[in-house]
Amino acid sequence: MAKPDQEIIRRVLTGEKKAYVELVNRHKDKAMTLAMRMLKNREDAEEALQDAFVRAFHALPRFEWRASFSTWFYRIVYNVCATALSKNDESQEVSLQEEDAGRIETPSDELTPDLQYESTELRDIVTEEIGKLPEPYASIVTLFFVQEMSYDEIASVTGFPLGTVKVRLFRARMMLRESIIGRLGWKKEVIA
Amino acid sequence: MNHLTVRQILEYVDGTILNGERTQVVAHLESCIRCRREVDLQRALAKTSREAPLTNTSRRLLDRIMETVVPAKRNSLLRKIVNNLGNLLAMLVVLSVLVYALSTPSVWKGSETPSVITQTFKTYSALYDRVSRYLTTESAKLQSKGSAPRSRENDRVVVLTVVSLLALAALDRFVIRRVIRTKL
Repeated sequence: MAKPDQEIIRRVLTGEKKAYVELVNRHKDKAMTLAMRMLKNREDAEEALQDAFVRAFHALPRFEWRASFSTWFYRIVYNVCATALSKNDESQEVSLQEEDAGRIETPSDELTPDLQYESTELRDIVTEEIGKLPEPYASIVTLFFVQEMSYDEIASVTGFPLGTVKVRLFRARMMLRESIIGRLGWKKEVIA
Repeated sequence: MNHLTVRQILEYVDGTILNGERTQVVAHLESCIRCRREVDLQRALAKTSREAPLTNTSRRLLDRIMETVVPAKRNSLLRKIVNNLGNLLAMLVVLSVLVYALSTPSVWKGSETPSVITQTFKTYSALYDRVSRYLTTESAKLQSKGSAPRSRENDRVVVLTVVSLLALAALDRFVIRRVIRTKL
């Protein structure tokens, strides 16, 4: 059974610094996924990730367990990536509608009945389209689906108000929906 | 017909919709195929998004992180000796063979026409003889009166061993390793 993060941190803080490798191995892939989706560049993402892990190591003595380690750590990852984005001047703020959309578009009645929701094609398309989402949508969607964080945890990581997180998450999922529909060639029918 | 809002559909899919509203959503879905399809689609997208493959890191990332947080300690002299113990033992083995060869005249005096290697051994041995005589003389000067004279042969072996070790260590450190580093 895998040791909890708390036990590994305790070992690191009592001098067994090499135990930190277990924490790194545990979180590096999910953290890399977040960094990659925010920065869209592998080299930048690895550099940011290295920076985040080093910062987390040095900040371990100040970690107070008010939140889970993963929430605390992903806040560091998010901030490092956001800083890198602002330096590259690649942040894209999309105007938001604060109220949820009153109109939704669903696939038409001509939807093929044998649509394979489990297909690898859909998985590949979804993975690709999530990677294309602009900030802040890419990070919020990733934190929600990959890190499986709640709205509150996402708000804690990103620093956005809770209501903003919800709206942006919904917006991101509708953007994803539109791009998936477009890729799969479904016909649209606007509901009155 | 009023359809469900985006918020209602997504909160219903996520399981975060409030109980009171959930009942209304469920009732609506029973009669509205379009919203039902939208729920199915959003469920599929959520499931696929959760199961999307993660981005792997490079192999060097972990090394770079650990090199930064736990830098390698510089080896102390004792640790360097211990780490090179294998090399020292190997040199001792070589040296032992040399000592045996040099202290057993029949080994290198057998042939009437000595080979290049034999001649090299002879030269080597002559050099050691000279060093050995010098050190023995100097050592005798330092010894106090009345002490029993040591065996010349034992002194020869001791000197041979020490000088050979030093010579081999110097050869290894300043010649062989440099050649290996530059050539390989």
